[in-house]
Amino acid sequence: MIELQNVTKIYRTAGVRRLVLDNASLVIPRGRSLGLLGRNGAGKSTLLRIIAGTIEADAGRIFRHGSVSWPLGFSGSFSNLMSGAQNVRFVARVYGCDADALTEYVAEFSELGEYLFMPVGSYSSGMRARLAFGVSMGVAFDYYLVDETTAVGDARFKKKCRQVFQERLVSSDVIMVSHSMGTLRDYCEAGVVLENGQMTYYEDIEEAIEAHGANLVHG
Amino acid sequence: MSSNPMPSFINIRVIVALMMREMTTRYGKSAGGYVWALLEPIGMIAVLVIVFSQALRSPQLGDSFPLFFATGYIAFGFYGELSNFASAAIAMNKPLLTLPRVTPIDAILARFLLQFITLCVTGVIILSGIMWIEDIHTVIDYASILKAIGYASILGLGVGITNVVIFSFVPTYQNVWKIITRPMFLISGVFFIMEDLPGPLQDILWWNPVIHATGLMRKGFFPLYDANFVSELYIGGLGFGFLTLGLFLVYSNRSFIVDRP
Repeated sequence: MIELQNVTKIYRTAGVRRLVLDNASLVIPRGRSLGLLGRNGAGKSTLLRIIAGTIEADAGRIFRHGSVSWPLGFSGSFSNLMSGAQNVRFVARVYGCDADALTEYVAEFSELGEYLFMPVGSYSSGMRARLAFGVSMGVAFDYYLVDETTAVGDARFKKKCRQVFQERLVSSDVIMVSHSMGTLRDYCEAGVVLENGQMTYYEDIEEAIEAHGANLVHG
Repeated sequence: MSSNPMPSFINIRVIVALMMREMTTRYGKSAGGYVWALLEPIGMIAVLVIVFSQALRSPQLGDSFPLFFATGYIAFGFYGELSNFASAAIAMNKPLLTLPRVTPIDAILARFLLQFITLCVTGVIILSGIMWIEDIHTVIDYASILKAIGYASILGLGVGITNVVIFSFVPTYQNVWKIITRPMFLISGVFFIMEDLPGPLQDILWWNPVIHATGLMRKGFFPLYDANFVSELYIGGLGFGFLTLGLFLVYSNRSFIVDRP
């Protein structure tokens, strides 16, 4: 379970202040994957990063019972100077998992072959994405955070990503931001609509999609 | 699993991982890797010693110019390098802070600790090397040396942590800092001892905390030098003052530091 209690977040970007959360509360129960909806600029990605713990709220408290991932497929933490394997080992050390086992998993998943032992700086963007997705899938989390990306690579590799991710979701939940209602329907059971700094929880993702659509029409 | 994985303010495992990462990446492209971090200061001291020993015939203390110069240079390094390395910790590790497990303090402490260990290793190599080559036998006062290193390091860390926050809010200050910090090498007693300066200048330079560290360091290596001007209360107080201020500023602005575009 993840609980947000009376959370306020003002997001400042280039001198503009935007109220993302205004004394808002939310309980995310375990066992139901969740889609985050809201109009453009409502702060869905910011909310996701608050849940991750990357950024902090200005006020309020957040309780996380269970481990929360970084955004799926995030490759920004990779050093171009280190090999793919060295980058994998770094993540393993930070998250306290077995470095050899994780490297083995990523080697198999990412299909990078010998490139795994070359500097990430020499990778194509596709190879980088495959490495990042492999690392995300290799570390077991209770909650996987997804900001749009659920799969990377060519059609065949995307299929593999989805398949492995689905396997993960048997025992883990996903908290997802996506512009595609189809993707939200595929992965999520419940939904949250973020509007004017308030979060409304819907047991059924269909209700959330409906409420979000109504907001856009009356907006 | 009902662990609470909320990143804490300081996380030893993350710090160790960051230190290992920095060791791999800092000299990533050159053969020999991190050995360069040790060779650089040794070469630097060798060159400076050769140049200055030509200009200044006899050292202000003792008989060995290399030992006189190296003691000042190394003590200053603990302040100068540690403050610089800590100051740049966030800018260098920005993308890593997106991993929720890595906090700004982890990034700062990792760089500080790695550089501290590097400075200790190079310091021991250089000073024992000089004493061996020059065949110097002296009574070493380890307490003074450890105090010199300790005070200089804490001051460097304190100034560095405080800078991290100021740099985040006022990026222009980075350039200002570079300019105002450059003369420090010249006015911190690396090339001279306080007692050789004219009285009025002594009164002014006394306020430079780093000169107290170089004074203590020389006291440790030159038994006849007592470095009476040194105030441990001053350099220690300033060091812990900056450290407390810096930790407070990082803690209260950690969200801004991580999130600044």
